[in-house]
Amino acid sequence: MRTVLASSDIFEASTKLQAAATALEKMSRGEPLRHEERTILKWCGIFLEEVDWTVSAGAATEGASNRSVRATEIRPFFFATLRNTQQLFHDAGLQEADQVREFLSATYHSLKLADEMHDPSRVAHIDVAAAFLQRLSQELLSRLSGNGVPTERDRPTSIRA
Amino acid sequence: MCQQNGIAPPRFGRKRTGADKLDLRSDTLSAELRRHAQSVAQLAETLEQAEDFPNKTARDFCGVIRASAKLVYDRLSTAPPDRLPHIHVLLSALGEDLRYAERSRVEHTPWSLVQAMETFLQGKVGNQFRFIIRPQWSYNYAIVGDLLATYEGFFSSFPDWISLAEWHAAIGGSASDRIFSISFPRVERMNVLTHAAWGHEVGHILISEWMTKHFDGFWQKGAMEIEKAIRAEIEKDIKGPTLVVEQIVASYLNDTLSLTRQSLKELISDAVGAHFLGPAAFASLSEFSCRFDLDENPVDGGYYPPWRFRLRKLAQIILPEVIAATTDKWNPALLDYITWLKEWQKVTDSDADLISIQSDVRSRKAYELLEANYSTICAQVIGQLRPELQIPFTLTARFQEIGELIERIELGVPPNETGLWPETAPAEMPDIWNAAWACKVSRFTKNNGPEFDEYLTMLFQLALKAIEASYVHSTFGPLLPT
Repeated sequence: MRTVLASSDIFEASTKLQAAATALEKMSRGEPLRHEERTILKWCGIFLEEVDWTVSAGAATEGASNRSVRATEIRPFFFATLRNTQQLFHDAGLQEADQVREFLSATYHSLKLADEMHDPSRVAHIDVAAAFLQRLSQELLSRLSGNGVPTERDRPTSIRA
Repeated sequence: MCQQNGIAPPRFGRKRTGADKLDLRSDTLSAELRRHAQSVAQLAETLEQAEDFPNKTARDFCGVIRASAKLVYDRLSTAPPDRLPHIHVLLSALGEDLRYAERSRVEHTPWSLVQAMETFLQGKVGNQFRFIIRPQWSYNYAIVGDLLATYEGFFSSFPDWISLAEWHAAIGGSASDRIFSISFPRVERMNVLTHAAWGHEVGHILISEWMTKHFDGFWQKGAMEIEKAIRAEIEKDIKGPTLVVEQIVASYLNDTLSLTRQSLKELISDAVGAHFLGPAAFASLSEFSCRFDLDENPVDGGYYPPWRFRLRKLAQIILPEVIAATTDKWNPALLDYITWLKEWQKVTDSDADLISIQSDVRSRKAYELLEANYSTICAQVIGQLRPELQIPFTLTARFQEIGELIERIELGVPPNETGLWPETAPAEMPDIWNAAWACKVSRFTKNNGPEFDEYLTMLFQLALKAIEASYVHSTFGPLLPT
């Protein structure tokens, strides 16, 4: 059976990541966040720690949340996005894989503590994080929608001159 | 925080200069979505007003789509501008799903079967489950759903825009329904014997219920060991950058998840089909599988179990009862039927499918997890049914009724009831299916040339008539004054 509920998990993640990216952009401009926006930031922090097993604590624990179905399904897209956004990190001065990993770990931690994200000196950090979250949101949505590419059945089976 | 960790403050890329372009795209998309939502609502309304649906479910489903699209249309001016692409996906899904209702109209379906089938299915899973039954051009059976739960999932992703309460209010009474679309191959519209596959489709609902409650925990218990095995295999061959290795391991683990999930769904659904319909479910699957490679690795086959694997599991459920039965009082066509069923054991004796599964770490680990838990999960899924439904269908318990129905078929009469007037009882659908299969197999073993095709046309018509008449008899008969 094609269960469309898996689609709605990915849809939910995509919408929340986009909302979080928008919230981070607001913060980088010094604008206050609503309670719902801080809730979404926290959600994203927990979610990304689940998905990114290179940084998550308890990664090797049986039954850990990073082994959940949702994390397993989204993880390949996460790493694809990470691969596709290497330039984003390089432009921000994060050349080495270890630096990126540290930056992401710090980002997830900050998201989970969304109430503490007031300090303007974190603006630069937040902008890169926002860009990454937006790209991941787009990656997930593209998987759902096909991004305008015809599906297998829509493609012509021959080309007529 | 970056300073504290010794990471240099990120240098920005070039500033966003396309603010004007961003507004143009947003404004354009907003206008397009407004038009899109209106079109979907209007199309749904047109379909909703059609009078040629075989059951109410398709019409009510159109009403849900209409109300949902209208709600989006009415609220679009306040939509979060950063999530307009997500609203496009939502509207696309609503519009695309109208095809289920549109194709369920009377001219496309064996309409006399639809109400009977919906009632039969609801008798197994509950009246809140509703079914749209429609043909598809693809030569296969499928079930899609729970459609309303999906839309609920989509709408719940915009809590800052439209609340779930608003959406529930918009769609009204349908909010508590669980709507599924069951598809069958269009060219087999009249082949009611093959439609025994619908028992399998009910199995999908039951295994999905189980998965909603248990699959996450089930997967989490096995995932670490599976990941270790995958990682060991990948790192043997790939000495590349860490990110590449992580992506491949993640991708393989996701494949293994899909293999585990799909194999559970298909195999447990097969077991449920056999539980309700007995040998007819096995007969239908065996015949269908003749068209395909029996041993394709599920990694390459859309994550579906190999056909031989499915037949083996079903044979293990169906054949023991058949082999052990005392058959001296059975109709001869039933004896031909069980001889034919036993023949399929030779197909399942080969282990070519198992060799295929072992060849890839993903399928190997998925099927290890499946085999270790299959019997337990089968029992748990059947245990979800009401107690009176937990007794499996067996030929041993039904051979007399089925024998009567076979006699009717042989006289050219629909096998819709048993007994002698006025002491008749409507035939049960599993009995009709098994009687029809027994007749088909009995004739096939004697003569499978062109005359067999003419016989099948007659058999399909008799079986269809029987299902319709039995449904009318059992639904409206009790309402007649005695």
